[in-house]
Amino acid sequence: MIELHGVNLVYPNNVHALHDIDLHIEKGGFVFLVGATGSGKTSLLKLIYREEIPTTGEIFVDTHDLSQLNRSRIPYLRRKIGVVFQDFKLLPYKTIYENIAYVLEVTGAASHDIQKRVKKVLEMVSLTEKSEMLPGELSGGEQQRASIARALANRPLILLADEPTGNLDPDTSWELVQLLDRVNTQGTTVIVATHNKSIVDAMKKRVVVLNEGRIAYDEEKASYIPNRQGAPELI
Amino acid sequence: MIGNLPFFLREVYLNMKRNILMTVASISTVMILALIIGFFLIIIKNLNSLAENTTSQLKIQARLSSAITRAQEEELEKKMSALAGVKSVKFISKDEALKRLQKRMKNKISLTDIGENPLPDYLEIEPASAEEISVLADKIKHFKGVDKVIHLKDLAKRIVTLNQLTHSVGLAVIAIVFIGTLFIVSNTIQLTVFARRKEIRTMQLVGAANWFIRWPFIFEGMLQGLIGALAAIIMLDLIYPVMSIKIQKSISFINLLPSAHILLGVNLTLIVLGLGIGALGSFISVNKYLKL
Ligand SMILES: Nc1ncnc2c1ncn2[C@@H]1O[C@H](COP(=O)(O)OP(=O)(O)O)[C@@H](O)[C@H]1O
Ligand SMILES: [Mg+2]
Repeated sequence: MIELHGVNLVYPNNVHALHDIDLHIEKGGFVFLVGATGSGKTSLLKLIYREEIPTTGEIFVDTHDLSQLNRSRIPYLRRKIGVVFQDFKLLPYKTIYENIAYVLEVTGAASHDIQKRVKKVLEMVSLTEKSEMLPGELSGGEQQRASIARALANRPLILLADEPTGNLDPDTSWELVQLLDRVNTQGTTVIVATHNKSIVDAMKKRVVVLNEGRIAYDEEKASYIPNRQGAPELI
Repeated sequence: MIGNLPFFLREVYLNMKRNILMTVASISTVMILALIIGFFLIIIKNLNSLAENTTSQLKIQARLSSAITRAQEEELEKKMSALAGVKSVKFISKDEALKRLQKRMKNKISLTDIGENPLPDYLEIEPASAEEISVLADKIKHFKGVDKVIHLKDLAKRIVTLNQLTHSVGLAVIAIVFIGTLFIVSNTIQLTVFARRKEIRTMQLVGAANWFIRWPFIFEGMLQGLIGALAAIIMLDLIYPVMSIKIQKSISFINLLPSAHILLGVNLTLIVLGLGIGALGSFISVNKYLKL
């Protein structure tokens, strides 16, 4: 489903954010991407939904070879990928409902289907009551849940969540991870970039550790042990 | 695209409401443009009609030799009518010529004073356009039975030049105003688009195709252009009838076109211009941020 071969990413300011990344994630996989701040988690996710283009190396996502991907095809790639952005990226002048409906509008879905689907994902993140509010009227945690609901709206093949529990209390974080797990069992490939040690440990999923832009560990059913050799200490 | 129309229109409504100040700024800019262009259109159209009117008074006189018979004269009239560039040919007898002269002299001379009528019979030839008059006069000069050809060479030339001048100057002014306003409007719109560049980026990241992002902006521009044009049209349509009467009163020899005759064309032109400038201005500014 997702493959990276020999990927390097150097930003225009010469920050070498990712070094020689080789990563293969099966369809239906669930991966925790962990690493200290600045280790390159967000950059790696951006490569997958093609916000960034690798300086060298190849990336394949579903049926797309991203190096060959025509500009006009990019929206179609992105509709297969639900992204929970680290900074949410909700449209500030649209209500929560409209924000979620937007990603369905762009696909040309029928309005009654849109209505049904938005209601459903709002229920999934318990935000039904706040659907008519603007993002600015919501707490950080609520905005995060709205952003998750939007990422799920299109029933994406792939779900990328960038520190989705960053603004949530432990209980809500736990519920969220359960939700991601449920989405995963229904067939969606899930990648979660996170700092949250207890969740990584409890979930017993595959863990990929980034350290200064390199993959330091890539193990099935690993626990995250902060002081293990080579692994970074997390907050 | 058609299916998305309700969504797009709602977007337009929400964005304009959100940004009242910018909306007013764009509309006012288009309105000022439309006023300037409308003003020039009205001037050009009036000058054109003035030139046309004067042209119709430009005629060639072909004086006939006194030896000519009635039959020969009729033959001549036919031949001249067949010439390219001739609108009409009319026979004026020497008696009628004298009557015209008397009328022009406000009856200060009488037939009895003159004795025998010294004027010749002549043919009055109306050319199709002022440009042709010299060429025609040259041809007519060589017809048998024509004594002398008289026409206002210099006046004809001047009308032709004036005609060409108003056309080219008018079009140049309109083009400059159009480009200038397009620049101002697209800059005004660009401010609103700039304020929304992050949203545009987000829309792209969640899978919106560029056309899907672009259309609401274009509709917004078109609506603002239309409103601006309509505002200008209302002003021009109210001002022109009043002004044209005033001008006519003070400069009596000029005949300005009646409102009903001129305003419909001007109004339609301004509506098309307003819509075009709004659409183009939005397109230019939104494309800047779509390419990032
Ligand atoms: N757009 C950018 N331009 C330049 N440098 C960047 C950009 N985004 C991230 N970086 C740099 O790349 C490195 C990795 O950042 P990031 O992927 O955000 O890490 P993480 O998500 O793990 O905190 C950091 O050193 C960061 O400063
Ligand atoms: Mg990050």
